[in-house]
Parts: sequence; C-alpha cells; structure tokens
Amino acid sequence: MKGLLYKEWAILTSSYKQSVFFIALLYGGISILTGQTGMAYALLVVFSILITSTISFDENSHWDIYARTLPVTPAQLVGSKYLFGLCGLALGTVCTVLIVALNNVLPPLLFWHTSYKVPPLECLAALLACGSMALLLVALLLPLSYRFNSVKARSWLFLIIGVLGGCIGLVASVSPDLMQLFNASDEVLLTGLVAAFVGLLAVYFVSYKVCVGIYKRKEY
Amino acid sequence: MAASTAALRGITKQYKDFTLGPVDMTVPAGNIVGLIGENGAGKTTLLKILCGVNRADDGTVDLLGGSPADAATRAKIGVVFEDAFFYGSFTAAQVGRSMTGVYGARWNAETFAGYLRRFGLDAGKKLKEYSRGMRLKLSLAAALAHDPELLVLDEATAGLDPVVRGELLDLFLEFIQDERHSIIMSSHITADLEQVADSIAYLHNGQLLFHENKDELLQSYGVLHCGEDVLTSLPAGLVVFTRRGAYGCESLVRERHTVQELLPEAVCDAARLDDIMRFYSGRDAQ
Repeated sequence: MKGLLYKEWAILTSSYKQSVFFIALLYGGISILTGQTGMAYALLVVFSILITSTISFDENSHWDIYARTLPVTPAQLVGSKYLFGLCGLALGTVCTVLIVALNNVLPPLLFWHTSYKVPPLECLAALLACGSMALLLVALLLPLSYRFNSVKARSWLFLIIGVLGGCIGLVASVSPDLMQLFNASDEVLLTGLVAAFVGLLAVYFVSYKVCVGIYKRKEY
Repeated sequence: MAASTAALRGITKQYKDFTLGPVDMTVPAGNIVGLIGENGAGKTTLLKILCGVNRADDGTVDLLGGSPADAATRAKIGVVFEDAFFYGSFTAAQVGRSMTGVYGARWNAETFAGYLRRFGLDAGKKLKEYSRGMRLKLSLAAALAHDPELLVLDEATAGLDPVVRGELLDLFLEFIQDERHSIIMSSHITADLEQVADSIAYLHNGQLLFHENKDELLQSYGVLHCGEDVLTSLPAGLVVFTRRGAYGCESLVRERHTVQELLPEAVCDAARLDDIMRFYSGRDAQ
C-alpha cells in the first residue's frame, strides 16, 4: 500500500504541482484581496477531487494491466485513491482555514474590499458544506471512472448533477414550505450539516466498497 | 521430469468474436518457453491469464505452487508488457521508490540501481524522455529487482534494434542460469526465440497447435521444394501444407530427414519458426 500511495503522490506532484500552487495562490489571493472567502472554500473541493484525475493518467499508461501483476490487492489499488481523496480534503481544509484566518486578520487591502470577518461557526458550516460536496463528488466520480472511463465518468456526473438539481428544483417549486428549512436556527443548520458530512463519509466508504467490486470484475 | 513453474490446464476464455482454448501448457522450471502466434492468436490473452490480470472462463492455472489471484504468488513473478507500465512523468528513481513500497522486503534497491547502471539509464530522467528501448530496459529492471522465479515477457523485444535485443537476450540467458528461474516470452521476432528458447508453443486462432522442444522442432520440420508429382509419392501425414506456384510446390514437412531419404533428389531445407507459422496459417486459411 505504501508503494501505491507514493505512486499517487508522485503523479500528483509531478503533473499538478505548478497548477495546484497557482490555483491556491489565485483563489487565496482573490479571497484575501476582495474579502469574498467563497473562493477559499472552492479550494477545498478542488484539492479533494484532484485524485480522480489520476485515473486518466492510469488509463493512458495502461497502469492497471501492470498493477494487476503486482503483489497488491484490488482493495489496496482502489483504497489508495480513496485515501488520497481524504488527504486532499484534509489539505484543502487546512488551506481554506488559513486563507479565511488571513482574511480575518488583515486590514482591507483594496478599496472594494468588504471588511467582513468570518465568524468561526460560519466558517465551520461552510467547511462542512463544501467538504460534504467534495466527498459526494469523489464518491461518484471514482466508481464511475472505473466502471466506464475517466471521460465518460465526467459526462455521467454532469447528468447526475443535472437530474439531482432538477429534482431539487421541482420539489422546491411544488413544496415552497420545504425552503423554510433554511430559515431554521444556526444550531439546527449546523447539526444538519454535521449529520450530512458524517452521512457522506459513510457514502464515501460505501463508494469504496462498490469501487473495489467494480475493479475486481474489470477485465483488460 | 522437471518440476513445473507454471501449469495451465484446460484454460478457456470466451470473447464475442474469439475463443481462446482450451489450452494445456506447462512452463518447466529452469526453461525458456517461447510463445509464438499470429496477431490475434491469443498470446497476450494467455499471458494475462497466467499473471492474474484476467480470469479464465474455465480451467486452472497453477503458478509457482499457488494461484495468480493470490498477491503472495504474484510477488514471485516479474512481468514486462510492451505498453503497460508507470506514467511517463515518473523517473526511474520514483519507479524504484514505488516498487520498494509494493514489494517490501523482496525488493532489492541495490539490484535495481545495478540494472539501471548496467543499462545506462538515468534515474532522474522522466520515462517519457526515454527511448522505447530504454523504457523496456527499465521495465525489465523493475521485473528483475525482486528476484522473481518466473519472468513473463509479452513482446518485450518488439521494436528494438538488434544491439539492444542482443543485450536483453544475454540477460535472459543469464537469468536462466539459476535453475529456480524460468521465462515465458511471447515474440514475433522468431529469430530471438530460436536463439534462446528451450521450447516453442505455437498458438493459432486461440488453439495451442504444439508445444515442443525447440531443437527437435527445428530438426524435424523442413521446407520441401519439388514438383506436384513428386509430392504425391510421400506417405500421408508428412506434409503439413503445400503452396503451389507456377514453377513447382513448396511444402512444410515433418520428419525432414525421412523426407530427404525418400526424396534424395529434392531440395528440403531446414524450416525456421517463421516458415512453420506461415505454412500453418496458409493451411487454415485455405
């Protein structure tokens, strides 16, 4: 497993080191300069889903054909990706918190800068929301990538997001009372977000199990 | 009888428009088995089943006393595929570090470094900057550095110049000096197999036509050049296939020395593996 984790690390650093650094700088810079910390939270999602792009590298080099001859199990091969997804989530969270903290301590740097200090609870809520989204994206993308391929997986993901979004919109239009849920107290909302995050961690684990099953049955 | 490093029994694999098998084949310990066949004959399919990449629909694979589905068994094989390896942005050093984590105590970093030096490979250079021959050498270094008992090579010398091929063939012969070691290699470059293989297995349209000792094979088969009338005088079963031309016939024959005794005036040359494949293909295409 150590060798597989190193392999994923090596692919990510050799292929994405510069672009990730640039994105972090850009998102962080925009957040700090404008006081709009939304971009910082987006960074959390970007770091988390980066691991899904390694599948296209594996496909290009026919890595999985070679990997099947190595003394590693399908659970380890797939598990290294899921573990890295969690590492990306952790790293993204740290970067986001740093950016938000910087935003809170620095004086306004530009004339259009809104001097809004993000309260810790609001930051936590946003982290939970974005973290949940990141977990869901990885939980969907990895099995879809193994089942089809990385290109088709993205198409499937857009379809799923479209269908889900459409369903949510339909429900909201026929049941406007449901939208009142978002007017609940901060404590209730935070509890809901924690529950969603924990629930999506469980979904993430189920996704891993499904993915191992797909990988075992796959033929090359 | 020598022990078998690998034994495939009744191996069958069904695809939409192709069926492999049933194939029965063994890789004796301390031997090099050359696997030949036309494109699409099933060589890579068979090797993938042997290594655990895919599962057979039927039959059993005994690999070094275990199963290819078992990770511990796969730790004892080294595999080189023509086009499946690490991503091009990796360096040889990174490949080595990754394999250290994969193989654990079995991996010998000094041996790997030694092969890199021997092959003249720059450990800091990216794979995509390597030539084809260098990439194959690196694959071989990675396959050898954990002291495997069986080397599985799928077109490992394809596209290489004669000098590099010669180096690799010497390496294979060196590897086989240890009686614990065996090699099964598929190749279209039959001259390489004639040089190093102990036995030849011929896959044709998914069927194993023969698996025979190489020297006996090359001693037995011949290419007979004669007229049609002369051909009819030969006993049944000696002629595999005849190509008829404007100026006579060209036939692949078994028991070349018997044919030479029967037809002392006719020209009967020793057949090469290429000839054997061409005539068998021609027979089935008819």
